[in-house]
Amino acid sequence: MDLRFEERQEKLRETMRKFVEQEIPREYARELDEKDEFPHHLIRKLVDYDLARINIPREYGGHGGDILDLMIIFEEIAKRFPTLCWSFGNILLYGNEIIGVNGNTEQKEKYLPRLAKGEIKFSFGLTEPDAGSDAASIRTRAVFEDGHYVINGNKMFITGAGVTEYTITFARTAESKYNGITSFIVDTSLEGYSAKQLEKIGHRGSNTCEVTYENVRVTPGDILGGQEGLNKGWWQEMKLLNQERLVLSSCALGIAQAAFDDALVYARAKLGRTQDKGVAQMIQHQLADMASSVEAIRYLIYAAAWKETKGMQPVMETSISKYFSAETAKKVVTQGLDILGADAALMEHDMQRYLRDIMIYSIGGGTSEIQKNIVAKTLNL
Amino acid sequence: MDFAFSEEQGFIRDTIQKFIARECDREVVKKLDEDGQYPEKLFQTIAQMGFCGLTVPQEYGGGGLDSLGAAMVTEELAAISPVLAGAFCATTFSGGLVISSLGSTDQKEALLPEIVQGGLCVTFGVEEPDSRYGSVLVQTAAAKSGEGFLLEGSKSFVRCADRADYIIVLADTDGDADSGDTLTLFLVDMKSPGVKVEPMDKVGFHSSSLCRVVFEKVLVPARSILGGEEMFKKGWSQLENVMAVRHLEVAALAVGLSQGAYDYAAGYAKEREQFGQPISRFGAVRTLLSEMAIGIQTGRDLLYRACWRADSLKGFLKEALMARIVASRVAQRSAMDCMQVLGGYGYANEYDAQRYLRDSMVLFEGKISSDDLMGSLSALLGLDGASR
Ligand SMILES: Cc1cc2nc3c(=O)[nH]c(=O)nc-3n(C[C@H](O)[C@H](O)[C@H](O)COP(=O)(O)OP(=O)(O)OC[C@H]3O[C@@H](n4cnc5c(N)ncnc54)[C@H](O)[C@@H]3O)c2cc1C
Repeated sequence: MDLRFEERQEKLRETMRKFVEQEIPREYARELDEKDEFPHHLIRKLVDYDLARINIPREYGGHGGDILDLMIIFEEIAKRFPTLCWSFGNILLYGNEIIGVNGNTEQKEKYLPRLAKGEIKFSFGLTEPDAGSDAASIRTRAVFEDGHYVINGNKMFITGAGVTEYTITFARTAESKYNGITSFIVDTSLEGYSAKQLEKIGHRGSNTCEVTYENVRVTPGDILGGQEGLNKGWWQEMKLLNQERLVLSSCALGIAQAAFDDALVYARAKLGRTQDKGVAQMIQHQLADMASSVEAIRYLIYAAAWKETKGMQPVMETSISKYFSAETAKKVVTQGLDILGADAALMEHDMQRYLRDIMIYSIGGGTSEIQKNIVAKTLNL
Repeated sequence: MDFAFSEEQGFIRDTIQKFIARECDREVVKKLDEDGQYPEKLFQTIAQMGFCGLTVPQEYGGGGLDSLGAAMVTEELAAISPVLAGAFCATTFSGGLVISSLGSTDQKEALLPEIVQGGLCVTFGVEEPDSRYGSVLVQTAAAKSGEGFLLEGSKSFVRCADRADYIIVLADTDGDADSGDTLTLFLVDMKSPGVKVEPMDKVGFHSSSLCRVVFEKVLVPARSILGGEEMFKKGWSQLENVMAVRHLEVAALAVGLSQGAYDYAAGYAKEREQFGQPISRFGAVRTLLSEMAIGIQTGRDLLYRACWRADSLKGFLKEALMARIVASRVAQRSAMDCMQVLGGYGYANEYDAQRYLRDSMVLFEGKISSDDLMGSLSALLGLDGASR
C-alpha cells in the first residue's frame, strides 16, 4: 500500500498553488463573485500555463493526463474561487473529456487542438425545466428534415451556455426513454439558439443559463460520435458520470479545506482571547472535528479516483464520493460559520461565500438523494 | 398544565396572518430584498394595528405584558420577511420589554407611549469589534464629566442603528478596575452629537442594516442611565435581562424563518414532479421535510416556554438561551434543506430559498458563535467551575 501522490502530481499541485496565489488574490475572487461575470481572463491565464491540454490524449497533442490531474487542478482552484473550476470545466470536462471519450476521429481532430489552445469551450446541455433528476425524460426534440436535424426545446441551468462556442445538446430522436436520446455538438452561433444568464446565490460568474432552441439546424455529422451515436446519447453520458462526480467531489473538498483554513486562523485569534479553558476546548474540538471531516473527504475521493484510473469502474465509489463530499463539506462550512459567529455573515469574510458556493454540490450533477439511490441500487436493495 | 393560547393570542395570530396575506406577499418582500429597501410602510401598518404595545404595561398605554403574543407576531412576520420581523423586535423587545422591565419611571413615561405607537426604534450596543459579551473586555468607556458622562468607543453588529432613536449601550464607568460591577447601561439618544453610524456589508437581511456605531466624546446626561442614576455601575446585573430579551428575539426570528422555509419547501415539493410523481412522495424528501417540522416545533416550544416565564415574571435567561441555540440551528438546517428540496431552483435568485439561506446567516447577530452560547449556557447550568 502506498497513498502518496506521484512526483508529477505533486508538481502539478505546486503549479496550481502558485497559479492561485499569483492570479487570484482573495480580493480579486471577491470582486469576481460580486460582479457575476464569466472569468474569461483567468481562463486565458490557465491556457497560458498550458493546462488546457492536460487531459487530451497524446496522439492529439495533449499531455494524456487522467482524472487525478483534473482533481488536483480543481481542488486547488476551488480553495479560492470555485466558479473558475466550472469555467475551466467548459474546456477540460465538457470539451476534452466528452469529445475524447465519445467523439469520433474526425471530431477529435477538429475540436481537441482548438480546445487545447483555449480557442473554444463547450457547455453541457442535458437538464430541462421539467427534467432534472429524471434527466432521461427530456423533451427537447431533434427531427430529421432535408438532410438536417432540426432542434426545438428548452434547457435549464446550462453552465457556460451563453459564452461557450459549442454546446453538447441532448435531444429526443426516438420515443424510447433511454434509447431515444442523441447528443449533438451544437455551434452556439447558429440561428435559433439563445441563452439567458440566471442570477443565483453562488458560483457567481459561471454563466449558468436558460437556453432556447428554435429550429436550430445541425447536420448528422454533428451527432456526437458521428452517425453511430444516434440514439446513444444516454449511454455516452453514462460513460462520463464517474469523471464528473469525482471532479465535483474535488471542488467540494477545496471549499471545505478553505473553510477549515479560514476557521483555523480565526479560532487561533479567539483562543488567544478566551480565558475560560472549557470554552477553549469547545473551539479546539470544533476544529478537530472539521479537520477529521476534511481528511475523510480527501482520502475517500482520491481512493475512488485511483480506482477509476485503474479501470475498476467504481460506480458505487464515485457516487459515495459525490454524496459524502458534498454533505460533509456543507457540514464543515456550517462549522466554520459557527466559529466566526456573526462575522461569518459579513462580506469582508469569505465564509458566507463558502456556504453560498458549497450548496450546489449536493444538487448539481445528480443530487445527494440520487447518489444514494445509486448506492442503494448497487447494494441490490 | 395547559398549552392553550388565550383568546387574545388567537386573535393576534389571526390578525397578523390576515395582514400578511393582504399586504405582504412574496413578491413584495422579494422586491424589498432586491432593492435593499427598508419596509417602512409595512411596519407602520403593523404599528397601527396596535401590536407594538404587546410588551408594554397597561398604565403606559400598552396591552400588558405579553411577550408570547409579541413572539407570535415576530414568528409570523419572519416566515415571510425576517427584516420586517426584526423591525418589530426592535420596537417591542429591545424597546418595550427592556424599558418596561429596566427603565426608570421617567424613562417609562417618556418612551413607552411612543413605543406603543410604533414610533420608536431601540437597538442594543453590546458587542465591540474586539471583545466578546461575557468577557470583561468592554472598551467603550463613559467618564464622568460635569452632570453626566462622556462616552467614547464603538460597538459592532448593531441592528438598524441608522434608523434607531435610542441605543442601549454597555460601557465601562470605572477606568482601571476590571471586575463586572464597573459596567453601566446607558440609554443613548442616537441624535446626540458625536454618534456615528457605519453600515456593515452583509450577506442577508438586505433591506435592513447592521452597523458599527462609533461614539466620539458623546455627552450623556446621568438620567440616561438605564433605570436611572441609582443603576450606576449596576450594568452587569441588568445585562442578564437585556441578553435574555435578545435571546428571545433571535429565537422568535429563527423559528419564524424556519417555518417560512418549511412552508416554501413543502409547497414546492407537492407541486414539483420528477419520475412521474410529486417529489414529496419520495422517502428522502419526506425525511427532509419531517426533520424540519420536528426541529421547528422543538424550537417553538422552547421559545414559548421562555416567553411564558417572562410573562409570569420568572427568570427566563436559561430558557431563552436554550430556545435561541436550538432555534438558530434549526433555522440554518431548515434554510439549507429548503434549498435541497428545491434542487437547482433553490440556487436561483428567482426563488426564495436562497433568501432564507442568506438571511439565516445574519440571524447570528451579535458577535456570538456557538461556543459563546454554549459557554454561557454551561455556566448557567453551573458547569464552569465558578462558584455562584
Ligand atoms: C448552478 C447550476 C449549474 C448547473 N449546470 C448544469 C449544466 O451545466 N448542465 C446540465 O445539464 N445541468 C446543469 N445543472 C442542473 C442540475 O444538474 C440539476 O439541477 C440537478 O440534476 C437536479 O435537478 P432539478 O434541479 O430539476 O431538481 P429535482 O430533480 O426537481 O429535485 C428536487 C428534489 O427532489 C429530489 N428528488 C428527485 N428525484 C428523486 C428521487 N427519485 N428520489 C429521491 N429524491 C428525489 C432531489 O434530490 C431534490 O432534493 C445545473 C444546476 C445548477 C443549479
